[in-house]
Amino acid sequence: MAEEGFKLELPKVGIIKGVKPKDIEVVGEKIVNIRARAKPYSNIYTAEQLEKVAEVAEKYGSGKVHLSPRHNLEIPEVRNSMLMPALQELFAAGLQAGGSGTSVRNIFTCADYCPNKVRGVRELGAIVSELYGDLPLPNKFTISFAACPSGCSRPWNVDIGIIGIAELALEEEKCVDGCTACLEACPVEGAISIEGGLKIDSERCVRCARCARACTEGAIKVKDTGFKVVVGGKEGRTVLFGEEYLSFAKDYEVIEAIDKVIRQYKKLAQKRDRKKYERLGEVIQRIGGLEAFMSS
Amino acid sequence: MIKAGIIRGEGKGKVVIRVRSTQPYTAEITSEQLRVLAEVARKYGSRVVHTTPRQAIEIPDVEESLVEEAIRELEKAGFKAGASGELTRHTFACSRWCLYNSTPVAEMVEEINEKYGDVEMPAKLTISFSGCDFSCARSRTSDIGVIAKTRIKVEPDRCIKCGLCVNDPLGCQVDALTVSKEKPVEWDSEKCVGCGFCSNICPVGSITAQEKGFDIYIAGGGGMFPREARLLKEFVSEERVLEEVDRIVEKYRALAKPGERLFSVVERVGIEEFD
Ligand code: SF4
Ligand code: SF4
Ligand code: SF4
Ligand code: SF4
Ligand code: SF4
Ligand code: SF4
Repeated sequence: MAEEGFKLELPKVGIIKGVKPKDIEVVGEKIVNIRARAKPYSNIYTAEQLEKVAEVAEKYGSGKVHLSPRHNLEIPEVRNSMLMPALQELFAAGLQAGGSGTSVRNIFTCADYCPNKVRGVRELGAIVSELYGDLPLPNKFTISFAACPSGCSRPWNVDIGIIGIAELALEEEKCVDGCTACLEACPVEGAISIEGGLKIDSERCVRCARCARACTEGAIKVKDTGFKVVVGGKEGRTVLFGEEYLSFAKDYEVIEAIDKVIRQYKKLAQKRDRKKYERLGEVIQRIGGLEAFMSS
Repeated sequence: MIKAGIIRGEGKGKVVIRVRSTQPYTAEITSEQLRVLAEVARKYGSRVVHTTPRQAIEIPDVEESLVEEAIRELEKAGFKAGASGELTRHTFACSRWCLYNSTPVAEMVEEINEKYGDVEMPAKLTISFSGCDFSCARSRTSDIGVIAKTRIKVEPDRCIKCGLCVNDPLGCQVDALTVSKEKPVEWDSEKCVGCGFCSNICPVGSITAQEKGFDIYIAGGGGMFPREARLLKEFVSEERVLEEVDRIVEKYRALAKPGERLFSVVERVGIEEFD
């Protein structure tokens, strides 16, 4: 039944860029779900876009909207015959159907208006979205940006996670007696010590720069910011955590890294079962680690 | 005093309001609610709205002095400010419209939100419900994760060898079934993950859904130190799931030091304490 629905509708909706069969889920014979999302990010909608989604949901659907775990606004229960006008109206408001199937899913960034931000991720995320958004791949592929190591956008459980981090500079002589501001700000036990001289344990420190923000004396400063890139995570039926690929990358190095990882993934992914290819993390596991994967 | 759902933002005197829908549950919003969001973002914020990874909605750049007013408008529309700080996060649920049509969890989630939505806890607490083993609501990286399971019954003598349970896009995803022109359906219960998809697809009742149960995982986490949750209970009956969640939450409250996440309590006292 599902197959039939796809075949009927696809030629017509094909004129809208980025629509793949799975973006419009055929639920019954006559009812479809549209996964709409804003560009370049699926997690920021303007007031006008929200109103458009509301209008489309009322006009063509049931007036209900589902918030998906990857930030799509899904409009369920749209009559199949009304799919085309619904998609066109959404498209005109900068909303596309997308974010499903075996391709690069919605590029995800954290709320980078957050005060914990170490390095903004919006611009770089938009470039990556432009370059790789919806690129067909062996299986689904998720990319998340987090502006600090708190990782609200879950960079460790996606195929490629990009995490804003800081390089710190210490000037111990500026540190004043009796102050403990940096200690209190640090989220990691034992990462920073002031007893017997200011020290940061580089093994424990996650490079979030909260200490530097707390220090009013200039004893801890942010020297530079960049990104940690972790590769091969996933969630769902099985959970994998990304492995560190780059420990301190600049913007162009992040894009290079994404490019390289995607190329290796395309080359090396094998069928996992009858229906699906392996996810990135599964390929890496089979090959025996990230290093081997990157050089295969 | 900072109220639930008001978080610091960028810029002086500006805050971010975080709300979730309560009509009828977090993952669902109505068109009227969308319009109110748009209105509030335009009137009090910067005309944009941000959706969070846990199905909350944020309105950034709100003038601090106007926060109460903005929240009042949102509450009138069935939103609730919250989901920040040392509070239970609203329970995260997978889609009510999932085309795999597995076990519905929205009602249970509503009930949990009633009880635990934005209740003060020793530290942040996340609860997630998924309708099947594919765990779209990230049940395996939450503090408490629930995953619905379906036991199936396979009766090969009724099979007409149509192959749908194997070949249909909505059929078995893990190669637990095989069927051929010569041989009726065969079921590999080792590979089966209990999603029940096949039972929705088989046109002749050769595969049928039997009872439903819920696996409960605890002590997962995302963020800075992500970790995979551990399986605590298998196949808990529908009637007892909420009780079990209750029990785990109470145990956590009793054992946790201030600021301690559930995974850290479990590491310290052992998972048996929660059994
Ligand atoms: S990842 Fe960091 S900067 Fe981004 S929203 Fe979370 S705490 Fe804020
Ligand atoms: S950067 Fe500073 S605050 Fe962050 S973990 Fe390292 S020492 Fe602690
Ligand atoms: S906050 Fe600055 S001055 Fe205070 S203890 Fe830390 S490094 Fe020293
Ligand atoms: S967890 Fe299962 S039932 Fe829920 S949305 Fe995902 S596939 Fe559908
Ligand atoms: S219940 Fe088992 S056999 Fe049926 S579709 Fe799910 S995994 Fe396959
Ligand atoms: S769907 Fe039912 S009848 Fe068809 S092959 Fe599978 S078990 Fe047999």
